[in-house]
Amino acid sequence: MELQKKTARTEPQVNETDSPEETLPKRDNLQQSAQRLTAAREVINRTLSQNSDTFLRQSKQRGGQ
Amino acid sequence: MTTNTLIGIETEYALTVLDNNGCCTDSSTPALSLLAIANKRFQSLEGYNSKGIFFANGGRFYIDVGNHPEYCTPECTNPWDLVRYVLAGDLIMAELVREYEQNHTPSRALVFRGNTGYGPQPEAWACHENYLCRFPPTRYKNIIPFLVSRIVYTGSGGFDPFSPGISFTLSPRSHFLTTVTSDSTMDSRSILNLRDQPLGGNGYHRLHLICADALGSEVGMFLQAGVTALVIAMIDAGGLPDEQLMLKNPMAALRVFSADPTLTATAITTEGNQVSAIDIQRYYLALVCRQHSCGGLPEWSEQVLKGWEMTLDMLQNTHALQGTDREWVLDWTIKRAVYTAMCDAEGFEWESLKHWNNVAAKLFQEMKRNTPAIELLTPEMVKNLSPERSEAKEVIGYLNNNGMMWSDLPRFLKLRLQLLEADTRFLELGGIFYKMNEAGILNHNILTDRSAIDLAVSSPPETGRAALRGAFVKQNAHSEHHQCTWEMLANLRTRQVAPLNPFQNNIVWKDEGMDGTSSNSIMNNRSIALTCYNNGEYAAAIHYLQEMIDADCELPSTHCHLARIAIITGDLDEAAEHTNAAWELRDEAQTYIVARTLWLKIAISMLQSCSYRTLLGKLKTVIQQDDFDAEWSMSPVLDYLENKIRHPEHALLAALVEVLSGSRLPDSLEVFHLWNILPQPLD
Repeated sequence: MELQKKTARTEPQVNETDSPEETLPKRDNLQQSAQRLTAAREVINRTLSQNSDTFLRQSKQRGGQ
Repeated sequence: MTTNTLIGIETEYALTVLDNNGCCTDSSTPALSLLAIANKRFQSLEGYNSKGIFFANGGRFYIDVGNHPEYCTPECTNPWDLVRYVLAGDLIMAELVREYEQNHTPSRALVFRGNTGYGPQPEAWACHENYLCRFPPTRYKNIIPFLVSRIVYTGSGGFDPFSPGISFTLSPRSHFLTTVTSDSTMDSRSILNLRDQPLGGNGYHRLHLICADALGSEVGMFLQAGVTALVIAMIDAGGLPDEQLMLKNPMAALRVFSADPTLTATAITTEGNQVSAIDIQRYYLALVCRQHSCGGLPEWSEQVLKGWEMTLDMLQNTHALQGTDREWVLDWTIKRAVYTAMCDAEGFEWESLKHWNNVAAKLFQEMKRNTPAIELLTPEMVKNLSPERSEAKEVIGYLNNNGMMWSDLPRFLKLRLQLLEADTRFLELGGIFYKMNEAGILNHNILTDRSAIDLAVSSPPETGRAALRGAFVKQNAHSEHHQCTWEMLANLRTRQVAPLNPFQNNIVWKDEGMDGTSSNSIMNNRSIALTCYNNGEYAAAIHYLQEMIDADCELPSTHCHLARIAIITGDLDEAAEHTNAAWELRDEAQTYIVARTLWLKIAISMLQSCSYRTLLGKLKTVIQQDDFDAEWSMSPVLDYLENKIRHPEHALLAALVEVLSGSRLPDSLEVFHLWNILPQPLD
């Protein structure tokens, strides 16, 4: 999605396209879609603990606002 | 003519510290260590009469109630800056944690920006938005349908934390909201928060929204801040939405929209029409576009409007999103894709989850009936439960009718726990979202120059008062003689202050600021006292209010402020003294102050088991005299009273607070038996 800022001092490398066609997101092909999902699942599998129950009980014990 | 705006976000980072055995330890000391590291590691100044420190980027860092590190972005004048200052907060927190872990080897500190917790007792953390605005919060009630429906792009996605099953929701935060409007942030969390604590000047107010999910997607954050700021700016410019699209039951609409990832669910308007969340968003989009053509909106409006419209077009058919790069833009669509794949991999089709949820809910209910101490269903619990037990028999028929097997239930519950862990770790710093981003899986970035985020760690936004504050912090970093707040800079050596109005562009020092005699300083007292009161720092609040009394400043109102603190702290004699003083001065007080004085006198009488019927009659008279719309922060008082007076008395007092805050009509009080009295003359 093309929402890059056009003029900010702090974002000098902007994409100057204004063409509506170029602002439309690109459709993945099936292979790309499957690759994204596989990569995402690998990230999750690497991240999850051995025991989700213990993790959930331990983490973020006391709430705030 | 264009308008400026200021936007900021407060983030409570949940903190878990594990010792060398991997066991969770108390996080209060580590949280304070993080503050100490922040003070040393970054250019900073202490807050003047407030907790924590301000950074050279103009933002604030402190330890909030519950020992959570809280980072507030500086006030930003556009949504791009808002995104990069939120992300700068992540960089700051990561740096603090890195140094903490180095100093406390082998402890591990886990930090989460997500604001929903999925423990046995679900918890919530703050991700609060702040928008500079022209009117008190009650003026913005017509944006409630907008807030209810914006979750189609501001929802983080996740799970209903109160469900014993796997109930995907667009907005986990929405499940912690219990009321449409309220001034509380800790309990009775609302869609539209009415706290009127301007932290500004020049007649500006601040809309403090507490209904949002924390987001990872830059597009999501950009739209949340940009679109909401535009809707508020539209109202400030006179473009008030009409009653056409007001929802009959906003809470019910929020629940329905949140539970529906197809975005086809509808809610009913006060005029009896069925509207979807997308319909409502398009209505507001059209209103803001109309205002844009008339002027009066920020200069960046056009790009936000374009992004808003594109997003609604994109979401019009969520089924068509699947398998496209658009699915990897917003938090909830990313999560839906990934979590669906996780379920598929375990043999649970997404569409079948509702049946498993029914089973989990029924079984949990049955088991809790027999063993009330049970907090949640675990896989082990079900594995050990014989299908012959009465609890199991309650669900086995349903399982059989839907082609499901009892033996799969433990796997379903294990999958549930894994999904909840994944969702918790989604916005863990360095967690799933950040790893997916690094791996190039996502499609959510709007900041093309990543060094701009690094810059936001140490430099303030270019415009707005944060620029002055940031430069002041940088120039005087770590000085004992300089402090600041959101609203002013202070030089303790010269005893001067420089007020920071929202768009102040130069520093003007004033000699009279710190001696407690000028009206400016005294009015600052009122604001500081309110902050102290809201934070439970009653001694400090009394100090600032007493200075106002000594300066003969707004006496009736100030006595009321002191009376409510005296009630909370259990000093009823002091409370009675202040309410009597306020009552004596009622001729110089505005009507709403007279009403509040009577409310406080009634509360004191209830606590002392004295008759209050005449006082109620007088309050009835006052309520009939005027409309009320000023927010009144009475949650701490109502909490204090809850177990000390009879329930009907407490219910009436709570309803009266709503009436006096303008969030409830006086006629609705007639349902209270105690209110069945005749109006009484005041004198």
